[in-house]
Amino acid sequence: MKPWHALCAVAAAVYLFIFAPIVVTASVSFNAGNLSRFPPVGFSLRWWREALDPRWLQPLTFSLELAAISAIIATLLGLLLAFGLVRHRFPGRDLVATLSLGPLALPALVTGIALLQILNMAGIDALYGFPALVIGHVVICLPFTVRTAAISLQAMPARVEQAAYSLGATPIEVLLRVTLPLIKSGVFAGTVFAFIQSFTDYSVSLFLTKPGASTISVTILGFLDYGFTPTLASVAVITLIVPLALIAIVQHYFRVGDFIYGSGRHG
Amino acid sequence: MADNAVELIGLSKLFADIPAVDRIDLTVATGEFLTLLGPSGCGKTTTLNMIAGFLTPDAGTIRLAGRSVDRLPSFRRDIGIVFQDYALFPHMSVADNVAFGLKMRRVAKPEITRRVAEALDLVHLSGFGERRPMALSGGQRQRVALARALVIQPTVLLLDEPLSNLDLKLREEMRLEITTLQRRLGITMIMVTHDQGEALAVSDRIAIMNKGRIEQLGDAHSVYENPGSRFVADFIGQTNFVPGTVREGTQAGGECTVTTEAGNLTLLAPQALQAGAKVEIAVRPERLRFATAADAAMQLSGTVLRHVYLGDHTETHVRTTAGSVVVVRTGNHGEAPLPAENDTVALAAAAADCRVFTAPA
Repeated sequence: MKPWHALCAVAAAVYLFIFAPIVVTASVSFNAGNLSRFPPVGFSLRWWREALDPRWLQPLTFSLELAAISAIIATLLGLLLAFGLVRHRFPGRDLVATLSLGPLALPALVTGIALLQILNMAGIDALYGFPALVIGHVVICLPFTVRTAAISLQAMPARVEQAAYSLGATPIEVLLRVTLPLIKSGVFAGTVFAFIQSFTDYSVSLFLTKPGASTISVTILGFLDYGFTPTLASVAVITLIVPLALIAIVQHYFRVGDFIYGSGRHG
Repeated sequence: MADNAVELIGLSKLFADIPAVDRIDLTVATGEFLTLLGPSGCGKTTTLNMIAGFLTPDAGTIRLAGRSVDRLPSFRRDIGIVFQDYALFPHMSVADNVAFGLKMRRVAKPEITRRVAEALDLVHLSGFGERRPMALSGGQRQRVALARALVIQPTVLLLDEPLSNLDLKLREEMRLEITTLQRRLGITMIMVTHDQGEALAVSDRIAIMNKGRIEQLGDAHSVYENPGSRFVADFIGQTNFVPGTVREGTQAGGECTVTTEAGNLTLLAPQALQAGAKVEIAVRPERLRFATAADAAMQLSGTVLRHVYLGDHTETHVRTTAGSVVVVRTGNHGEAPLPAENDTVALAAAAADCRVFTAPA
């Protein structure tokens, strides 16, 4: 067997493990009966009707809003941090660099517990729910946005900003007309990562939700106590489609993949 | 218009307490093409970056068109820059690149369109306006960079190693084009380069820099023919150094007598020399001849080590009787064949072709 064939076989196995469960889950959601059977017994859309009930749609929109706001805040903060880290030498720079990447190395569960304790100690329990979740999610999203913005800044063609200054552009004009357009795809890639990180998070959200203000992942997990009904399969498919659709849209308009995988063009 | 486009007065810059630029004074006349030439680390790029406003001097003053710009940021200095790597905006078309400086100056749209077209025409890139910089060759990108800087009609155009990224043929072409443009537009230019050929070819005056100081300032002819220091003699062109000892000292500008293996030479001294001082006699390879001339001031004998044939000329390495190696350059004029390797030869040079410098410690 040639190495190339071996590689193809491994890749096929990986894709099988990724997609097989999804296919199984998706087909289970069409079961006609009350049991999650595979292959599905009969065909029905009743579980999908149930999945579109406010009881599921409410946490779903909650999660979407949370992910959008967290991703935007994390992107703006990440941009500021990246500018500071890439462009300036200041005391404590290494510490800031480590801290902004820290949540990536830490188990999210630890981050969640730590946030819970801090909010408790600070006596600001009133923040539980959406505000606390935004804080927690910004923390776990920040490593993605800082990294992608910093990498784009470092990869920027040398001296184009100086060229712009010499042509009479003020610092704000240089930022808006040269720097941001050049790092845009990297920054958007960071935003997408952040959105997905927030939308799919469970470990941090678990500690910070409150009744009526719960994310879709926490709601699904809570519902699992009653067993795996076909409704859950439908909800799971919906939560899977949302980030996938988002990636497809953003990739179509901003070619974020160019940033992640390279543009495939040379020169 | 001010007589002097650029004045540097006592300009200094320290990097980690080491002077990169050390109290430089320099005046560039309006319409002049001045080149800062020197080895890497001599301070030429630091000087350029200070003029551009990218670096803040630690001491001294910069005047552009008679006005101090010490407190002005880059974008208020009215300068143009062409970088070695072009630094074009990759996300803009060629026309938008060229229009950038005019847009920043809030020039009216129709005028921008007209001036961009003129500038592109000037660098022979009419019809390339809609292309992306990525789709252009290195030479074309350099032309865009030139048009982008020229279109704003800056007080001074700074060129930072503008030709180093181009291959030889293109480099010579662009070199000619830049000088032609400079003469035609009467624009003041300061170029930084480490390439002496480039400097000699294009400059009205050359400032040869070494260790943060200007060692010599003059036109191409004077820096090549009358180098003011051993460094300049060594850096510009090729030079043979023959060691010697001063027999009769003199004041600067006077005549001294030097004893060397090439006999006793009486030469003009650029600096004061004391009897007994160790010196070196500098002579260009093209001024040494294979000859036994009784009247020549400098006469050497030695053995031919090897010939380096370079087409239009041949460099012959000769080990002198005293053991130093000198190079003789013979133009390819279709004359008598050169002496064979290992032949014993006599070399001669006129006194007017020799210079005396204090030997490095």
